[in-house]
Amino acid sequence: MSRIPAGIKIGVLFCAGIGLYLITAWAVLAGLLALAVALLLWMREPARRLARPVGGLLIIITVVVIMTGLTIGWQPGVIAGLRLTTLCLLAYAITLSTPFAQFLELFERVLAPTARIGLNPARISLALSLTVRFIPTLRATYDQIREAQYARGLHRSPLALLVPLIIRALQSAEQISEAIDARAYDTTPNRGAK
Amino acid sequence: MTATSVERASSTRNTVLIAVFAALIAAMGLIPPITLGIIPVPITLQTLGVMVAGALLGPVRGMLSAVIVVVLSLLGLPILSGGRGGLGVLVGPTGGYLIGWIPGALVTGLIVKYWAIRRSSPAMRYVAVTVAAIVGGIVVIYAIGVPWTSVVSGLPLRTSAIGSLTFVPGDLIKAVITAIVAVTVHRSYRGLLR
Repeated sequence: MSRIPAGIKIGVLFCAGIGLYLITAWAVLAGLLALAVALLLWMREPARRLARPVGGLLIIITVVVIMTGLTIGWQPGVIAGLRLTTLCLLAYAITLSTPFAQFLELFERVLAPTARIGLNPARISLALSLTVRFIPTLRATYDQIREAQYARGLHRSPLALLVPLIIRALQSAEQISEAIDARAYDTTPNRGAK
Repeated sequence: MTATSVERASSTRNTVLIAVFAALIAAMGLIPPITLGIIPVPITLQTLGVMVAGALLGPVRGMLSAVIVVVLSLLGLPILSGGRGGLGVLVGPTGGYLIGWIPGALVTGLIVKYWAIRRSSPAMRYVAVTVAAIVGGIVVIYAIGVPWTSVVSGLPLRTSAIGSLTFVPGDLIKAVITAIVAVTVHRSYRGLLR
């Protein structure tokens, strides 16, 4: 499944999203759900990695089914639950079988024509990859600040955690943009981008 | 510096700021929820990140930060609270709350930039930014999230709205925290909104 191009998989998901809402027979929906479960199992993902996201999904869907059951009736509730679970598992299987880099590539290809309407794909790529790089850095900064505030007895105050975190994030933003400019990493178009 | 290199420097700075705040929103999904001293409910911080991004960076850049987080999470990075991510989130019942972050940050930013931060008395400024965070970070996000849940799951709009009320108290606290953080940071980082 991982060999199928990401674009086609997203197209399939989109069609499945519309198709599932056209089917109203619960037996057919249950069959499709079994199919989606089989697809997910076929990918041989370790159960540990599946447990958290799928568990969270099932809790939300159970709540929806119970609320629908109590307000409009149990049959529509079960049908909605089957549809949602199938669609989410399918989407999850697609996400798992596609490496992040492949999605990013697809995204950049889709964005490429936007250069004509004044957007700048090179800068969007830069922002996306900077973000991915920053997440662990900020997480580490947060842990440092939390330890420091714990020592001061301030670990229960969200402000004592957030304000320094944001100030440090702003400072590193300044440093990094200076570093980018110092290296003449130019994302402005018509000037040999990159 | 020539005019173009000044221009380039500021556009690099904007790109990096957008990325840093996107990473901040994402990192807030990874850090364990902060429990406030008296209130036993742990609040997850991602919508706080969205409100703060709008309030600190202004409408356009704040919104772009939210766009990056939404895009990265849909591409499969497990950066939403509870380690969720992937296309399944979008087709699931809570997808609207995620999409709502984008206009949510925009509206928060608009109100802060053009009204809230211009109040003359400091006390008034806190109140005004809180109002901005409530309108952008709660009203706008719920206005998309509530109907989304009912469309995806077939739940009546009223039930979906009543169900969402559970999260309002936590979100109100986040709006207040946003105001204190934003006013404090704006005081030490003037010209952030420009």
